[in-house]
Order: sequence, then C-alpha cells, then structure tokens
Amino acid sequence: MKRGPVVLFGGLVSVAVLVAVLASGFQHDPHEIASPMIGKAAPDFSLVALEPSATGGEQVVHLAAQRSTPVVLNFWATWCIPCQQEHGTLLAVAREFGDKARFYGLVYQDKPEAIDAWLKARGRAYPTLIDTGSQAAIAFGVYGVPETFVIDKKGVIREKFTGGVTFQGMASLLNALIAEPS
Amino acid sequence: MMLLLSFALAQPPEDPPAAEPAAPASEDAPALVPTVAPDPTPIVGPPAGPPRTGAELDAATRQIASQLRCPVCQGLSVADSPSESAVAIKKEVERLASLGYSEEQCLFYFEASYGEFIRLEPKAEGLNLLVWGGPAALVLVGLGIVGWMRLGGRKTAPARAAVDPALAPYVEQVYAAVGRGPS
Amino acid sequence: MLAYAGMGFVLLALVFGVVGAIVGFSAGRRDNPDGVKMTRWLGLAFSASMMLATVTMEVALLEHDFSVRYVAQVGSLSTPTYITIVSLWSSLEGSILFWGFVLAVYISASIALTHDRASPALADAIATWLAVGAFFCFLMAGPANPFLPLSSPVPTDGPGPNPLLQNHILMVVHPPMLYLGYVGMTIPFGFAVAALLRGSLGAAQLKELRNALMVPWGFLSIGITLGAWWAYEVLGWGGYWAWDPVENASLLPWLTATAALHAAMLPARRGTMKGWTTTLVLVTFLLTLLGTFMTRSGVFNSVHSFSQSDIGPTFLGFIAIVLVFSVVLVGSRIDRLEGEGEGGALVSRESAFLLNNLLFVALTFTVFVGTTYPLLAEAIRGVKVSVGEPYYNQMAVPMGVAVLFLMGVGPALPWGQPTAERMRALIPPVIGGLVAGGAGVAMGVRTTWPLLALVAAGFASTVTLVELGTALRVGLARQSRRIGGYVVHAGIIVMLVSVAMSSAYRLDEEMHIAKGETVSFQGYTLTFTGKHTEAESNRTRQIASVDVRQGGALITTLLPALNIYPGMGAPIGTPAVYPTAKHDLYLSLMSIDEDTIGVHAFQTPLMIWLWLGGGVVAVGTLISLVPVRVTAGAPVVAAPVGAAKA
Repeated sequence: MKRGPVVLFGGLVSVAVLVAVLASGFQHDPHEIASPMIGKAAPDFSLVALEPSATGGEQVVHLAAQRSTPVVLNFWATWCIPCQQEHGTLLAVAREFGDKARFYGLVYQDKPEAIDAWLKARGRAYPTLIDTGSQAAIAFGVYGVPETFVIDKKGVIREKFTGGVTFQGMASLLNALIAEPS
Repeated sequence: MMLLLSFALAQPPEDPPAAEPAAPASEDAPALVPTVAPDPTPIVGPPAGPPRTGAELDAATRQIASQLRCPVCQGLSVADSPSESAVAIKKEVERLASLGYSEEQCLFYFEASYGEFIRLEPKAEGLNLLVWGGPAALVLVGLGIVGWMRLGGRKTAPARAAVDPALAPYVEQVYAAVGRGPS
Repeated sequence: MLAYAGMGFVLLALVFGVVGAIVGFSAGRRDNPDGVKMTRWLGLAFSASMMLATVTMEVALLEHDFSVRYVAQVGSLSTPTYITIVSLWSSLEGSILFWGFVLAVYISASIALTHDRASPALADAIATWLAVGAFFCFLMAGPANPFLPLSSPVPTDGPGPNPLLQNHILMVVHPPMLYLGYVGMTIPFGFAVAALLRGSLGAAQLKELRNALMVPWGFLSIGITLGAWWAYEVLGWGGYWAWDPVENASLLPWLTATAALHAAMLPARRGTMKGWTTTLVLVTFLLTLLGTFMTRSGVFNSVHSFSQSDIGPTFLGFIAIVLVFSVVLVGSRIDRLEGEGEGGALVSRESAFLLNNLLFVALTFTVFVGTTYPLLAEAIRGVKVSVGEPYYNQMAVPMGVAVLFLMGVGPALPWGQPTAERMRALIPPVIGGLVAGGAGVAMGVRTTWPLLALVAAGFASTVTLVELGTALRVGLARQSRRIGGYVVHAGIIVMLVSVAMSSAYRLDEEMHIAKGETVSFQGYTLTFTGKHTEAESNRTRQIASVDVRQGGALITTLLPALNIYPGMGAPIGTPAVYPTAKHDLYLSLMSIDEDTIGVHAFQTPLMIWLWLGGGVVAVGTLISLVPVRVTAGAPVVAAPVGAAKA
C-alpha cells in the first residue's frame, strides 16, 4: 500500500489546522478573561467602610441599597503598581461624575494602616471598603487588581475593566448609564 | 476570620455549630459588624446533600479546591496555591461544602462569576469532548493499526529460513550489524 | 562598541548559515565531495561566528556595558557575578543568542565527530543544521536583536534579571540543560532529513541518528528533572509539576524522542519502520520549535513565559515552513524508505515496541491537545478554558502505568517467535510485581492507580535487573548500549514510583507558630525559635529558624525564608526541605514577623527518589554512549545468547 499520498494529504490538513489555531492565539491576550458577570445582576455585599465619615457615618455599605444611580466598583490593593497609575484617573472621573454616580474602592488582601497611608499620599475622592476575606472579590470573580466593574441603575453589571481604566472609556460609559431611565 | 464568623451566622438553625471554633474570629474583626456571606442558592439551587463536617468536610474541600484554578497563579489549583486569593477561595469552598453543596454545585458557583476558565478540568461537553475523546480515539485507532500490522505482517512475511538454534545468536548479530532483519 | 562587534558576528553567522545551507544541499544533491568539504568548513565558520557573538555579549554583561540595551535591561551592578553570567539567557533576546551558541557547539562537535566525512548525506545534514541556525540569526538580526545599542543617555545601573531567576542556584544549571536538550534535537533532525532526502537509512546512519538523538535526550531528561526540582525548591507549594504550558513544552519533545529511540531499535533489528522512526525525529524537532514558540510568543498563559514579544509571528512562520517541508519530505519518501521486514509474532518484542510507540504517541497527543486546546476553544467558542492537573492526571496516569508495565514486558519478550522457555522467564517478574504490590498494601497504599503503579514497577524492575545482570556478564565494552538502556530504565522506574507515591500521598497543613511555640506535624514537632534578616547585595532575606524534633530529639533546624527584591513587589519564598529516604519534610513560609510565622508544612513520601532517579537516567545515558568495541572475527560463544536479544 502506498503511504506517501496518505501522509501528504493528512499531514498538510493537520498543518493547516495547527498553524491556524496557533495564529489565532495572536488575536487574544492570554491574560484577559471575559467576565461572565456582564449582563447579570451584581452580587450583593455588605462591607465595612474604612472611613465612615465618607459614607455619611455608615459603617457598613450594602450594595443593594445603591440602586437608582450607576455604581463604579474599583478593586485594588496597595501593593499593586497599575493601581497607583490608574488612581489619578479614577479620582478625576469621580470628581466629574461624583454627583450622578457612586464610586467605591474595594481593597482586598491588605492592611487598613497601609491603605490609609496609601490614600493619604495619593488623595481620595470616594469611600473605601474593606473586602475582608476577599468575599466580594470572589462573588464578582476578580482575577487580579486593578479590576473595575460598572453597574447600571437597575443593579446589572454592564462592564468590567481589567487593568487601568482610561478617563475617556469611563466617561462615555457613565454618560450612557446616567442617561438611562432608572 | 470574618468569613468564619459570617459562616456561623449564615447557617440554618438546625445545623450543628461549625467544627472550627468561631471565637478567635472576633479578635481580628475590625468591628462587630454582621456582614452577610453570599448565598449561592439563587445560582445553584439548594444544597444537594446534608451538611459536612470533620474529615468528610476536609476531603470534600480538598477535592473541590483541586478542581479550581487559582486566579492569580495560572498553572496551580486553589488547593495547591499558597497565594492569598487561593486561600480565600479555599475558605469559600469550605463554607459551601460545609453547607452541603455538591462538588458540581460548587464548581458551577465559581464558574458563574469567574467563567469556565476557573475549572481546571474542561467540562465534558460540546467542543471540549475533543480533549477527552481525542486521545482515547488515538489509542483505539493506534491499537487497530498495530494489530493489523502484526497479524497482517505475519501472513505476508516470507517463511523464515530454518536456522540452526546453536547459530541463532550469531545470525541475530549479523542482522543487527547490517541494520535489518531477514527479508 | 561591543554592540556593533556583536551585531557583526551575528550577521557573519547569518551569511555563513545561508551560504552553508545552499552549498550543502546542492553538494548533497550532486554527490559532490568538494562541496561536502566546503559545507563542513562553512558549518565550522558559522559556529565560530556564533560563539564569538556570544562571547561578546558575555563581555558586555560582565563589564556592565549599559550602552547595550540588553545589558541595561537585565544587568545590575549589585548582581553577583555568576548571575551576571547566566543573565545571558534570562530574557528573550539573550536566550535566542544562547540558543544560537548551543547550536554552534552542537554543529561543530557533530562535524568533528562524524566518521564518514566525505558522505553527501553529511552535507545534507549540515545544510539542515545551518538553515535552522540561519533562521535564529535572522531573528537576532531583526525582531529579537540582543545587540541593539541604547541611544538615550546610558544608565549607570540596571534592574537585574527576574528575581525568580536569581532566587536559586538551580536556575543557573537548569536552563542550559534544557537548551542542550532542545537545541540538540536539531542534530538528529538534520540526519533524518538527510536520510529522507536520499531515500535511504543504512545501519551506520541509523547508529549516527540514534547517538545524535541520545545526547539531547539525556540533556532534556536532566533539564526536565532539574526544572521540577527547581519548582519544588523555589515555588513553595510543595509540588514540582503543575502541567503548565511551558512545562508541557519541555515534556512533549522528550516523549517523542523517547518513542524515536525505541522505534530506532526496529529498523536496527528488523529493517522495518524506518519511515516511522525518521518521522518521530522530525516531530521531535518540530515540538522543540513549538515549545520555544510557547515560551516566547506571548500566546500561552504561563508563569514561565517571557513577556510579550514581536517574534511570535516570525517564529510561527518558521514552524509552518518546517512543518510543510517535513510533511512533503515524509510523504514523498516514505514508500522508498520502508523496507520489507519481518514483523515477528503477535506476542514478541516487536509488538512491545509498537505498543511502546503507541503509548508515547498517545501521551504526546494528550499533552499536546491539553496544551493547545485553550487556543482552539477561544478561537471557536470564544471562551477561555483551562486544561489543568486534574485532566492530565486522569489521562496520563493510566498511560504512565501502562508504560511502566511495558518496560517489563518488552525486554522480557524475545524477538520473532516466543518460545515456551522465554515465556517461563516471565514468572519471576510477575512475582516481583506481586511482592511490590503486597509491600505497598502493607505500607498503607489503598488507591487503585498508585497500587497498580507499584505492581508494574515491581514487575519491570525485576526484568530490568535480570537483563542488566545478563548484559553485565557479557561486559560493558561490548554491551554499553544495552547496559546503558537498562540503567536508564531503572532510573525511570524509580522516578515513576516516586511520582506516583509523592502525588498520591502528600500530606499538608497550614499553621501559625508563635515564637517559642511548638506544634506537631506528622510525627515531627516544630518550634519557631526566631527570625533574622540577612542583607545580600541583590536582596533582603527574612529567615525563620524552625527546630525540628522527632521523638524529643532535635534532628535538624530548617530555615525557610521570604526574600525581598527591591522594586519587585511581593516577596519570593525559599522553602526549606529536610529530605529522608522515606519522605521529605517541607516548610514553606506564608508570612513572617518578629513573633509569629505562617507556615505551610508538607510531608511528601519518596520525594528524594525523583531526583536520584534523574541522576540514574543521566548515568545510563552516558553509559549507552560509550562506543561499542567491535572486535573483528570475535568468536561467537554460546554464553552471550542474551547478547543477541538486545
């Protein structure tokens, strides 16, 4: 039996498939994982605020109580370098939209003193919540920091940003969400 | 530590108290605020089995954690990874397992927020079947080819000349030296 | 200055490589002896240029010449000298240069060691090596240039290499071994291409091919074992293998090379399967390219990979060319190459070899599919999936046990027709297997696969020892290949038993120990006696002293540490290990401060045997490479009957 033609045909087909699959890898960032949470109701949480004064004296913030305005949740940590870089952008966004949307920084795997020192050095414009035991991070499916979730007026997660956010991206999304009926 | 505390609060009243004493938790808790742990029931339904404790709980936790990918360390399972994220997920797994949620319910719960990526073992469905069936198919086809070669080969092979058994080793060495067998 | 000199050597090597490949292939085609000679010289010229380029880089690194961008990227005045030397391969561009250097060493050694220097097949082989070498020079001349000068103001100091690389001495030894294994597969690839181009594979060429395969196989075995050891000693999770894409990438060519080494016995003995053997060699080389692509393209999600780079598409293009070339070559020559051999009986050593090859191919396919499937799933389903340890354990464990079993069956079966006498020789191994299984049960092994692994190991080791004894009686000088092979088998059996037991029966516990406090763990008592800090030039180490006692007596003091590298974020741990023949006690620090430590303690059975087994494999590989003394007209005595069945 002649094996040559079989090898040739089978081999070339396999080569085409393999190269196509490997090449498809260039289109995707292996570190970016699409969140299944987008379009779903945000999981509720009750977290302790670092500075109760910033939450109107409330010690605990319930996410479910924040309906009717868009909510921005930024997961971060003091040891994370991209978080330092995006912090300025977030402050600017929060100052621009502070009256029409709520912003929360969720810190996980960190010490309160370190958080306080970090914020003192870099400025604060919105409340910081302590995610003890990473419970909120797990409920939201956070892979790493920084990750930012944007929730609409109905409590549905509309977008997740992995890595640093841009002012433009945040602003256009928030403008759209603010315009939606509650 | 907060987790343990909230776990005790979230338990239905008929459950036995948590195996781990919840007492040390209060030392670390920043304030005695009863935060509510997430309830997986809306996502995965009620627990499939009775609550687990002791060795049974440890075994179930380990088994489930070994199926979950640690989100920050890429290759490792939550059971193996020493990272804080993995430790937190392991605690959550332990909480769910203690409430009686089955392995599949727990995996589904984490998949709902992290995506299929969190499962270290691809679900046996759809395209994923390639990963499971491919090697098995290869072994079966390979066995077929080997069998066909062996049985077919014997029929078509020319009869081997009778070799004096005493000379057999020498003949073998000659074949080895010339690089091929009798043809 | 050095940047330009280095670039010059790379370009010179590129020219020698391209010209050598052209001259070599045409000399091989026309059977032109002068052309063959010229190809040899071009091969040596390529090697010399490549080595000079590497020396230039080393000089730049040692002189901390930060005007070379690569040096500014990985060098640092505070790094110890030995780490400065090895930072040659700590980042992408340097690692490609190192690849070229290793290839140069292999090419010059192969040219020097070939017996038949005028053979046109040698010209084809050298031409193939040089074509591969030219591609790597092309990468260095273009997208991965290690000698780019730094135009902006030259910095006075650099960041130093990745802290994970600085963290352990094994990182100095492990990558060169892996490179020697990976790059070395180019040599058998060249011989296989030559055989296919010429449509013939004679006994002498087959021997050359086998030796050329054996050397990188040995290095790859050592490299993989050292990599696992490094992971165990550094990563701190108590294990050594996580089925990470890059780990898999090193395993894939090892599996096919192992298959090829066994397949090569069939044409040697029977004249069959030449096409198959050469195909396996081609596949092995392709898998080394794929592995390099995985580590350097940024396509795969792995802890070990280099950061995102531009060489991915170029590299994939090269893989595609080699793939098409290989398929066309095999497709057009396989019918000419396959000899008419006799297959032997259904139950014979031939069948065992075929099953061996089937198992290794199936293992390769499993690892390959598992590693690349996430890409396919993302391309088709648009979803990221993971294929991790639980999958590989389920798929690879049964195949691994089957391989172990076959390591006993194969050597026990005769070539050709089985005789009743030979079949009776299977009785002691079966007893050996049952004894090993029984011992396992007595020691508390109750789970199916580890128990089956023990039985198979007992069976295979009995056969191996019997065969080894027979071969040793004939003498090392005449039986080096066979003795080496069985020594390798013995090493692999030891390693597989260690893998089975250490993964099935590892115990662990996380605990916090206050200063002066004593906790107990698996029959040991651990006391945290204090913390001290050591400042080194490139890092600060926080070391915990933990006294380990057994039955009240102090047996050792373990010093697990957390290392802080300035500007590198989270600390990197150094676990401490107390190895014994029975099990390892392994302490990994999770946290440390003055009065308390968080420790993850592991007890892993038979762990040390994995590393010792790796050493045995290395020794066996060396033995098998001892040249066989062929004494012309040596009388064939009745005693070496065993010799004939090797």
